[in-house]
Amino acid sequence: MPDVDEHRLVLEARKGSQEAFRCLVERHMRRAYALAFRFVNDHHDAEEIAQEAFVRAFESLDGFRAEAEFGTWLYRIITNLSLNRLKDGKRRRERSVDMNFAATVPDETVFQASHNDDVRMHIERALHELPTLQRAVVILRHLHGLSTREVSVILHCTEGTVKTHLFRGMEKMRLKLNFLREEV
Amino acid sequence: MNRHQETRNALYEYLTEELDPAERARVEEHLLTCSVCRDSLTVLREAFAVLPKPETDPAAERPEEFWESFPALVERRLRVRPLRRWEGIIARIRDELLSFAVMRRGHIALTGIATGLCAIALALLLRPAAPPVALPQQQNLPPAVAEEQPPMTSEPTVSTPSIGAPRISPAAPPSKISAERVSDYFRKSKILLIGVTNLKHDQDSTPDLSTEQHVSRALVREARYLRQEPGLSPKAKELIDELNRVLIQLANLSEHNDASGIEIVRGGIRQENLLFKIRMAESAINVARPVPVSLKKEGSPL
Repeated sequence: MPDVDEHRLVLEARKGSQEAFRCLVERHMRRAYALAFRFVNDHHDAEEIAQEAFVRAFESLDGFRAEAEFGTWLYRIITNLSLNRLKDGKRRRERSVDMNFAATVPDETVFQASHNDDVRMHIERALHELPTLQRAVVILRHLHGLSTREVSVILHCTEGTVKTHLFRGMEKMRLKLNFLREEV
Repeated sequence: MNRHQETRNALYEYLTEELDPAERARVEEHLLTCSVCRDSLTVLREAFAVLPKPETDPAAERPEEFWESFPALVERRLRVRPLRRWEGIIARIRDELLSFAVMRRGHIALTGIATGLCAIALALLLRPAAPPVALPQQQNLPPAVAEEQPPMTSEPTVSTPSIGAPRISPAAPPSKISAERVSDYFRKSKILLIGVTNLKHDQDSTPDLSTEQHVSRALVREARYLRQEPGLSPKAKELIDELNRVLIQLANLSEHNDASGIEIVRGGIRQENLLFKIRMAESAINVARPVPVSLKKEGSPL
């Protein structure tokens, strides 16, 4: 059931009230940012995506259907933007990867990584190796803590599909990250 | 949906205690009698252990001033880009289509294959009765089809060497991501080994190797991951094992490591000729990796 107060804010923002839109931004900005960060794992990109998502939401408020939650609708925009950003980033990395191998200058950052960063990097890599839908489900459901129903609305699929992809995604993550459990 | 599938789908919510009592009881009852679903529960428990629900909020990593200015930044973005409503809707449709293409590539590929098969079937049904030139083409068809499907995962046979084949070739080409990870692993190992080899220290003082030891541990963990990659060549696997021995030695040096401990590690690097082997492995990976078109155009020797 959509939040009545929030529904009123959306209606006012649709009529052009900047104050109402600001209220919506303030309500959702932290969760929106956190979700974007869980996808892209970069603060700068997460900020960019979260801001852009609010702008897109405002520009297409007319297309927002009142039966859904504004937050769920916003998360869908963030998911789309994040996946597209990752796809573009992957393309850029593929183009530049051979140039990186040509460089023989030692990378100082290699020596500065802390243990937590190391584990975080492994998790990020393992996530990025999952098929896109499984990755999105694991991030939205497991890491961001949304309900199965919300994830199904965001990804436009059934709750059964979300559950199946969640199990498969978690199963693959276990295989990929199992080595972290063993100590040197 | 069968009972196993139903239970398996409910296991996540069973572990996170989101099921209502009746559903929970149903799952527990099934688990008592079904070893397959019990195994699935173990798998999920282990997945939770390696990927726990995050305790930290990424938003909390930003200072309060950031959040105070955030709404103003969004409004500024709106002012700078005064799009009309229909432009916003078009942008949303474009995003929806792009993400659909990203998430459902499999469906699109299947649709494409199905359409292609239908087109071929239709063409075969509607072809002329007996065209005189059709026979030679049909005779050539089976070998062509056979060539299109080489056994991707089989090892290259020694008895049939090909002149054009690269001298150092992996057993099966690793996926793009694992090739990147293998290269990354070799690159970091190389930097570390060069650092240890060139380490200057006095006979009396004890050098601080904590950073090198930390990196070693990370590389040993990475090696464990890489060794389970199906596309990894035997040569690369062998080198990873050799590197692992030295890295474990380095990681396990005591805090009061004396010069002799470091010398043993250095001796291992020299004896196994590890730096040379890493360079060879890196060039093998670069040969196996398809070169991006943009680089080819720039006149790269690759």
